[in-house]
Amino acid sequence: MLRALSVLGARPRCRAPCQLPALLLLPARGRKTRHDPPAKSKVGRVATPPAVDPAEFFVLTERYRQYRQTVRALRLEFVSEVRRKQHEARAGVLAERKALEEAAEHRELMAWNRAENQRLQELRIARLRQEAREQEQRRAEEKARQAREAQAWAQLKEQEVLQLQEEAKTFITRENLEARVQEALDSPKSYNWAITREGLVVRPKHKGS
Amino acid sequence: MPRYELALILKAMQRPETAAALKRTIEALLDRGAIVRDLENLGERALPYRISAHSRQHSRGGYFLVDFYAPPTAVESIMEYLSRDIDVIRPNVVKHPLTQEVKECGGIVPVPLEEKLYSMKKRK
Repeated sequence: MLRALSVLGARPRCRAPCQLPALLLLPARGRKTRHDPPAKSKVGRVATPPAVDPAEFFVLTERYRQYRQTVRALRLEFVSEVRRKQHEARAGVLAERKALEEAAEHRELMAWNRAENQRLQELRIARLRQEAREQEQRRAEEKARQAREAQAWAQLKEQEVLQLQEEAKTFITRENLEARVQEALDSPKSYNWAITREGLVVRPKHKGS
Repeated sequence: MPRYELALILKAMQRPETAAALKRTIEALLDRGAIVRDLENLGERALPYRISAHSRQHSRGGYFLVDFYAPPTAVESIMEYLSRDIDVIRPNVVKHPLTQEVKECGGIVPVPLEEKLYSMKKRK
């Protein structure tokens, strides 16, 4: 018997593939399973149920009937209470009042939202107008500045042209070529001088060229 | 037209010949479409070294500066003409220094003198 019991611990658990009941069937030698055919000695055997005591039977049925009646009444009572509560929550007086209040609040909030949007829209419009004005101003300033610069540039160029015209009077042409050549030969120039930081010109004291 | 400067070294000659040479030079410039601004004489002086030009050696020369406006294409022909002229020792045409923009002087750059003394390559 112990050896039979020890097999319990050694067996690996495999619940999913095979369908064992919660309690493991103790395999004992010689016992029949339901799939085995009955024995020859049991041919013609009629199973007789045990005899019924009428008084006990009556008492039993009465008690069952009362029990079930009570339980059913309680159950119906509870179920009806729950359904009533649900109905009141869905369509009762309080619920309607609350729905009305919520609708009113919603309307109020929507109105506030619209007002807020309106206000922000006005602010936005004002801001955009301001920005447009500023941009216009900046553009105008930029144009003015460019115009001033162009004018200054034109004036500078004019000055340069006038100066060049003035200098052109001293240029050498074929007419005054001879005179200029003689004049140049008469007056030798020397660039061999230096200047101090204070602005004094320093020339070399020539001993010879 | 850009402004050029002709630094001319003429042979040491007598005054009329120098005048003739200058006149010839300036006329050549004017023929090539230049506008001569000014002619400066830096004097006749000893050259820094003996220069050979047109199979002759010179040790004295007259320095002249001609600043003129000319088209850039004419400079080459001017140089060619001046190199053929036997009275000219050395012609030089450069852009006029007054037209160059004045750059800010960056000061003396410190030079690593050690590198100049011996080579810094790694030796075994």
